[in-house]
Amino acid sequence: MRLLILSLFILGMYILQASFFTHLAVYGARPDLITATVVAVGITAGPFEGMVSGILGGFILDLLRGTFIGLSVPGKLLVGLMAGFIPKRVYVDSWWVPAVSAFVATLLDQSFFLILGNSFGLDQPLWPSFRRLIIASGIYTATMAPLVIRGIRHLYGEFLNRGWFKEQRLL
Amino acid sequence: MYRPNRWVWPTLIGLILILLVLIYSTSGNRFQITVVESVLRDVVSPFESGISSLVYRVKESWDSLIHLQRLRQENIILRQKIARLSAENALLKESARENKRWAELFQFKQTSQYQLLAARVIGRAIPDWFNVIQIDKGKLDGVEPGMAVISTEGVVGQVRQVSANSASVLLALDSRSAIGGITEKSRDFVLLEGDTAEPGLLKVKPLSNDIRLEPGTKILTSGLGQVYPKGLLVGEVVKVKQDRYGLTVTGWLKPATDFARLEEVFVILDK
Repeated sequence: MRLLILSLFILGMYILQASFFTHLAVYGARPDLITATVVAVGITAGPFEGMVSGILGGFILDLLRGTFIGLSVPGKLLVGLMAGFIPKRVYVDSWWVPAVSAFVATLLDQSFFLILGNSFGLDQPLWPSFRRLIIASGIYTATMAPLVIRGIRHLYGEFLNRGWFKEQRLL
Repeated sequence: MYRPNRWVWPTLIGLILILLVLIYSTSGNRFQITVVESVLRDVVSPFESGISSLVYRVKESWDSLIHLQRLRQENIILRQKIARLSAENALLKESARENKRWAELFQFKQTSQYQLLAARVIGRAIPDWFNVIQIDKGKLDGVEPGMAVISTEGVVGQVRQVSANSASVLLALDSRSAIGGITEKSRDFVLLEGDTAEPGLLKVKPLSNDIRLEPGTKILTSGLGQVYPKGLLVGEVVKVKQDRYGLTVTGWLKPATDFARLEEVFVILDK
């Protein structure tokens, strides 16, 4: 049930990103709400949950795009896993933690996607794409991340109440 | 210090292998989609369509509000001169503006020689460097993979994957896209390809060495690729570069269609 609700949440983020934020693109870039969600899950519920949400988010994104299926998974899995270790090092209730984490995660995730994609024939120049879209997308994602983490915290609070999730679940 | 579960590494290695096979097998040009993808798209597309409609309405209302404010200012000045005529004028202008875009679209559909299906753009592929849009018409409306998509300005792209109520369209700007073209005046054949190094432009490759290509040359579809019908405007050459020996020339074309502001498109149903 928890995974189904998490998938629906990610699907909702996809719909917002693909339709609503297409009209609010800045320099052609949109916020990467799915990566923001993966980071938020990692910070809220730990590395394992972050990794699972990364796999879910990556697959949903790729299945809806229809090409290079699986290409988004490794990057998102990695940022979900890494985000899960953030609470061990930083006081996560600070307002800047989700924003900075989401910015770094977007940069990492999309760079990973680009490098891996190019080895499978994606044919995108690295530096222009990085300069033109990834940085803009990272900043945009960072501004949206505090809102996303609030949603995820609320969701996991509900999961805890209903007994669908055990806190501090590690690898 | 935590100890990884003994299943973690085999699971991760298995996942990596599955991913590599999946990515490799879906990295080419895919025209058919699986049932899972089709169902997922059919679940998502009504929401995308709903949100897009809502955004379009808000945008239209906002534009109307801006126009209305301008009209009010004009009206104050005009009222001092010709009070009765100014009110009538404002009303006519407002309705003309609101109807202009739809009238153009309707007229375009009426005068076109092809069987066209009007569709609305409901989403764009993620990440942003995939030049793929999602439209709100699919298999149930007669859309099939390979059909050409155009706008009132010119060529848009080609339908790639179709689900029941939506379809994804590979834009002409994408590096995987190739269009057979012909120069408007000299009737020389060229090949038009998406160029990742020049976002927003198409690379123009002449098919023979004696072709003269210069900025301002308009290029139409040649009809030879059997995707786009002959004679559709693709765009205008904006940049030309010769190789170091002056033997071959490559041009870059600015598409007639404004892909950043694409809201309505037409699918050519006669394939």
